[in-house]
Amino acid sequence: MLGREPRLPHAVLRGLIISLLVLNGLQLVLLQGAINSSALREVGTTWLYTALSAGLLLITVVLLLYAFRRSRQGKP
Amino acid sequence: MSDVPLTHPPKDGDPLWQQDFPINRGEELDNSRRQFLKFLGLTSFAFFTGTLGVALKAAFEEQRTATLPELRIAAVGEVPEGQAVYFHYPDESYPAILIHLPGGQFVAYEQKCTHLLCPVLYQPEHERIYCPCHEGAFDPATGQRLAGPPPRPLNGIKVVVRGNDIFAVGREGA
Repeated sequence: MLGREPRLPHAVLRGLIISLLVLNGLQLVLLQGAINSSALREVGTTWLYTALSAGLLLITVVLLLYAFRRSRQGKP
Repeated sequence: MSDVPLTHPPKDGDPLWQQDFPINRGEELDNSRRQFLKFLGLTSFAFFTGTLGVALKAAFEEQRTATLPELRIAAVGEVPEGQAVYFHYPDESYPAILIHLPGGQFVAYEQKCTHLLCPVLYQPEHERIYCPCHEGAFDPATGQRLAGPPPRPLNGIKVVVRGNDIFAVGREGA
């Protein structure tokens, strides 16, 4: 292979990217749900979707931090 | 530019772009993945911010409409059975429609189609509230969607009859 090896193994990186894509997709669904429930004036449901989206954002941040730490450990 | 020495330094025979951008292939891939991860993280944050914005707007709107004023729409005799009158409630930005249903009941809705906010019209001959923009139709008695692309029922307005007058007193569901 040309250049240096990536610091994260391919399998980890692939899993990370797929996980983040799925999380993004779920957040998009939640955003659409929030818009819909807001139009129906169901404020409680809108806040529920917001809380779920916040949870998914938290998971995203945790995954990115994990990737960052792991890549730092692999640095020569 | 990175400090990593180039594994394939540009040669004279290389294409111009390769001479101008002598980047290691492996490092280029690494950077792209890193940027993609960063992009996914930012997208996640953007989706959350959007959802939060929608929730805050909904909460603000609920608070604002919790105490709507009463508005006299018309006298009972001014709206014959099977006819409608158009008015604004709670202010000029919100056109609304009051319908005197066959049978004597009064109902009122915001005059905005839930598809793309086109003004809707009452058509007593077809027993429907009709949106001419995209052929949407609603049930005059309940506001529920009958046909077309609207995703939700019409937003209702509470009406009461006091004496000889009809009043709008708030929004349905508020």
